[in-house]
Formats: sequence, C-alpha cells, structure tokens
Amino acid sequence: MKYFFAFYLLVGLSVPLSSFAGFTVPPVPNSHVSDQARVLSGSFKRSLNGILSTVKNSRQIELVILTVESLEGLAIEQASIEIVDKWKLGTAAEDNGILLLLAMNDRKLRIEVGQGLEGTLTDVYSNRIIQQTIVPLLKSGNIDQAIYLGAYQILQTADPTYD
Amino acid sequence: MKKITQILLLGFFAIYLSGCGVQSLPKAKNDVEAKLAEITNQYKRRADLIPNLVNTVKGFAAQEKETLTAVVEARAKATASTIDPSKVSAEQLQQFQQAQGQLSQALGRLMVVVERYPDLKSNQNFLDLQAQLEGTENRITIARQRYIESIRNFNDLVTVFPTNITNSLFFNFEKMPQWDVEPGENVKQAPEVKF
Repeated sequence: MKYFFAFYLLVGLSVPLSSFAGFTVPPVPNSHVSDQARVLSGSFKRSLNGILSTVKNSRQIELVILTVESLEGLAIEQASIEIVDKWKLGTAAEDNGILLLLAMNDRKLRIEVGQGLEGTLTDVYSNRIIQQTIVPLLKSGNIDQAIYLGAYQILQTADPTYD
Repeated sequence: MKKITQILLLGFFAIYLSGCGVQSLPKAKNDVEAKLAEITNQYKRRADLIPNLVNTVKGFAAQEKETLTAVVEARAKATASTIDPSKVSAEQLQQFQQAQGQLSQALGRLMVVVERYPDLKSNQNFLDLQAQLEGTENRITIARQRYIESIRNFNDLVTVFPTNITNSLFFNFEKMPQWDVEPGENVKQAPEVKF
C-alpha cells in the first residue's frame, strides 16, 4: 500500500513536470501580429496589425501572424494545427482563419488555412507564396518585407477582390 | 400530491437523461463515424492526385517504370478497398488501412527516386503536385489523430461509470477497436521548408 501511494505520488508529480518540456501553444493574442521571436520592427507590426484588423472586419478573413524562436522539436504542421485549434481563428461557421507561422531558429514556416478557405488558398498557392515570395526575402534578411508581401499575397489569393 | 410526484419523477428523469449518456453515447458514435468519413475523404483526395503525378514523373523519368507501376497498382488496390463508416468491421478497417499503407509506401519510394531528376524537381507542375500531395498527407495525419481521439472518447463513455450503465441499459454499444498505425507504414516525414 505504501509503495502504491509512492507510485501514485510519483505519477502525480511527473504529469505537471512533463508539460513544461516541449512546445506550448501561446495564449490567444490580442493583436493580429504576435512577434514572440522579436524579429519585426515595432512600427511595421502596428501598421500590419491595423491592416489585418480592417481586413477581418470588412472581408471576413482573419489572418494572424506568429513568429516564435523555436518549436522545441515539434513538427511545424503539428504546432500550427495545435495553435489554430486553440486560437480558433475565423468564425466557427465559415472557418475562415489563416495562420502564418514562422519558427526562426528552426528555419521553418507554414501557412495554416481554415477549411472555409482551402478552396481558394490551396496548398499549391500557399506553397508558391512561401517558396517564391517569402523565402527569398527572408534569405536576404528583409523579414518585415517578407511578412508584408507574404500577407498581401495570402489575402489576395484567399479573396481575389482584395488589393 | 400525485401531480407533485409526477413532476418530481419527470425532473429526475430529465437530469438522469442529460447526464448519463443517453444523448452523449449516440452522439459520440456519430462523431466517430464522421471522423472516419473524413479519413476516407482525404485518402480519396490523395488517390485522385496520383494519376497526374505519375504522368508528370513519367515525362522526366520514364525509365523508373517499376516504381511507377508499383504506385499505380497500389493506388488501384487502395481505391478498390472502400469502407462504409456507419457499419465498418474491425477486419474491413484493417484491410482498408493496409491498402492505404501500401500506397503510402509506394509513394514514398517514388519520392526517393524523384531525387535523382533535377529537371523534374524544378518542374512547376511537379512542384504543385508535390505541394498538394504533402498537404493531403498532412490532412490525413490530422484526420487520423481526430479519429483516434473520437474513438477514445466513445470508448470512455462505453466503459466508464456512469455512462457505461446507460449503455448496458439502452444501447449495448461495444468498445471500438483503436486505429493503429501500420508497422510498415512509417508516419510520413513532414515536408521541409528551408529558408
């Protein structure tokens, strides 16, 4: 019985401890641009946030940018789905949220698209935006510009009337 | 007096019915079916992409006939093995899983072969197909995760008090077999995007 209790205590202790290791989804942000890796300039963040909140109100598309330093070994597809599951971007009825996630130290990025927009912002277009627009600009060190043009193309693809 | 007892009895039943699984058990069962339907939906999407992929690869690497034929054959088997999510047996599910797993393997081998053809790898049509395929594989992974989760939820309701009593009284649902990843089918490596 004593051993059983010791074991129980051990299990009870190890559960909260284990949750510290690995990637944890950040709390729901109050801005459309969350720059946890601190790679974007302040004025850029403010203006992009302004644009994205206008888009959310006028076009029913919610695009959120998140930069993190590291995914702590988690695959980026897994991380991005965990984030959108928790943040619940877009409306429940239309599922029209988009997450642009950049993991700086992992050198990985991903566009996670809500099912309501999968028909317009397809895998092919997302991939092209990443490979042809965002990656070259990131490589040359223009992170602000990479995000700006990436966001612009994402919105334009998701809603062709956007300009 | 009689009326009061009736009302009390009714209230008791209302509480009993809402809390003890009369609703949540069938709902959980429907959820499992919906999640399985989503898996089959995504597998179908993958199968639909393959003819186009095979044709594109053929244009650049016609000599890789064996690998290409293997993909075509595995696809034929995978599309032949269909399941009805509302009445599926463990055996059928395993068969379906096996057929899809074999297609995953054949596709994996094809993608290795492709590495030898730089012209193919930079072909826009191929890049697009690759992006679609990766996206689909990703959705399959998520659909499987959600299916596994919904089975766990259903099995909890069937086996854990108090809903297990409701189950044995009203439904007699059996615990569902959990979906397990085929040993031969390594979970697909996440597509890499380097910058």
